[in-house]
Amino acid sequence: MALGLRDVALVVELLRGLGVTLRHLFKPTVTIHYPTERREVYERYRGLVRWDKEKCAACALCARFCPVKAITIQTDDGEDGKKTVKYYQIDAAHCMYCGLCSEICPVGALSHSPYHELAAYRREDTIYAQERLSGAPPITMYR
Amino acid sequence: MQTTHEMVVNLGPQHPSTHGVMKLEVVMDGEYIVDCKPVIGQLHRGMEKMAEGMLYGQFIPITDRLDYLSPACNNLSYCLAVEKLLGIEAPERGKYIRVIIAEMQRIANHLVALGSWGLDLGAWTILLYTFRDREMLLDLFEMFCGQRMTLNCFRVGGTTYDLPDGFVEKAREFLEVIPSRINDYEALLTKNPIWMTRLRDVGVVSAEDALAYGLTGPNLRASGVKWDLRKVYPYEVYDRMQFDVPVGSRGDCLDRYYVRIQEMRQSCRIVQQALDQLPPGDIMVDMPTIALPNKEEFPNNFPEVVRHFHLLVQGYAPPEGEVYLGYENPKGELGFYLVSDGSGYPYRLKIRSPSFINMQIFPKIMRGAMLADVIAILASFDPVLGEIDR
Ligand code: SF4
Ligand code: SF4
Repeated sequence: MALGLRDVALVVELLRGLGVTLRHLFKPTVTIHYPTERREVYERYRGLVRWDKEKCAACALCARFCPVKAITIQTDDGEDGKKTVKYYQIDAAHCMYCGLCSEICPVGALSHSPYHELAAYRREDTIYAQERLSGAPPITMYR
Repeated sequence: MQTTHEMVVNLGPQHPSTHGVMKLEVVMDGEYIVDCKPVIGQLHRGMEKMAEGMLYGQFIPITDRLDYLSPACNNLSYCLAVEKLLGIEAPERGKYIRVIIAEMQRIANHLVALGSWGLDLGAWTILLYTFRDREMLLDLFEMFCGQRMTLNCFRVGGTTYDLPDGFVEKAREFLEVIPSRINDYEALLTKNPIWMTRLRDVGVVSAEDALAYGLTGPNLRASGVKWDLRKVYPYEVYDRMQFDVPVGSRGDCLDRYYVRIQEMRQSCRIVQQALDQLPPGDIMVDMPTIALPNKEEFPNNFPEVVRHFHLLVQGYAPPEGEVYLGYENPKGELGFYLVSDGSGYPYRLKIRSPSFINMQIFPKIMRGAMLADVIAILASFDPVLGEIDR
């Protein structure tokens, strides 16, 4: 079977494409070996929402404004007539990390942490309430 | 006597090439398509109804989920519609930041479109390369607003975030490498005889058909109609940008591919110009009825606290009326039709999503094609199901 001009052109073009891949073979790798190597997130990263009990003024604005209603808050009247928080929870499975709550909280009690590996075995573990809302989230087998 | 009969094949909803959960009911005679019926609705979330129960500002993160490959463009489109309803405009710097992010998003979207298209047709390499380059853009987005995919970075009346330190330099670095990367894609695809044969004269849409079926975006331009809302009705600062509108001539899959490649180059030009022209100044309108107050003043400025709560509980109430705003999304014209009854909640929101309307033409152009072409045609329209089903 004789090779026509067309076939030669075809092979040349395919080789040119292979040349691109060959060139990339000698470039430094861009992937990282995830569980052992990790990349740092940027400063503004919107990860798991953290809540500061000391700062919170119990205004419930966050629970009201959250578009998916991931925040639940129960307030109580304290001794001096000031409102206090009885119960506060964020459902991390509902939360879409939109950043609206930390943006609107008038006293800056809410913030985003860099934590994002939040897989859990049970659904209840994705609900962060009260004391689980500050500091680092518990270490699971996935992190 | 032996006879043949037509056969119905269900492509999807769980098919890797349908770009989401869409079902194509294909009636086939041998290898040829006799009829094709897209069945949609598996991803329906009732967004238009959801909007009626939300303040105008609360709906912005939900628009991220429309076309989840270009969230910044959706945010921008929605914000522009509400701004038109309110009769306001973002300040200069805000506009430039929006244009920079939206054009980067357009490049990111076309990179995914190209990569997954290659994957559908068996070209694995291109997917890895485009995703590598998109990663640089996602890093920039993360730097800018803290999220990679669902950005939620614009607000009615401006943006929430200013460009962080180092962003402009990093963006310029990206602009330096991307043209050579696009050349690489072209070396892999445009000159590849297999790719050309699979796409040339497949799924031809004539200019009349494209207009009659309401195609928009790259799919319309590939048919030779020069219609780009950024040029025709310039919004934001596009009237100050120099860029060309690439058009095709044949309206086949190859043209749709090539228009997208060209658009990436044009978007690079726009980002470059916007970075050069970026003015200093405010990023949010200075209007007490719309912009949130500065939180640092709260301890000794009670009226501002009251305004803060008022804005977030009642929202801003646009005047009664209705508005439609079309925006050149990477996939076509994304339109928001808003009806206001004078309260803080929209009375009605209708979303004209480009993928949904582009998809109407499928039954027409699929007829007579081979089964393997269906995948190529589907990918050439770059549909996203989040937007089709809303
Ligand atoms: S908005 Fe801030 S201060 Fe108010 S309840 Fe939420 S966390 Fe507390
Ligand atoms: S980040 Fe968004 S979704 Fe999550 S709790 Fe805050 S407002 Fe709600």
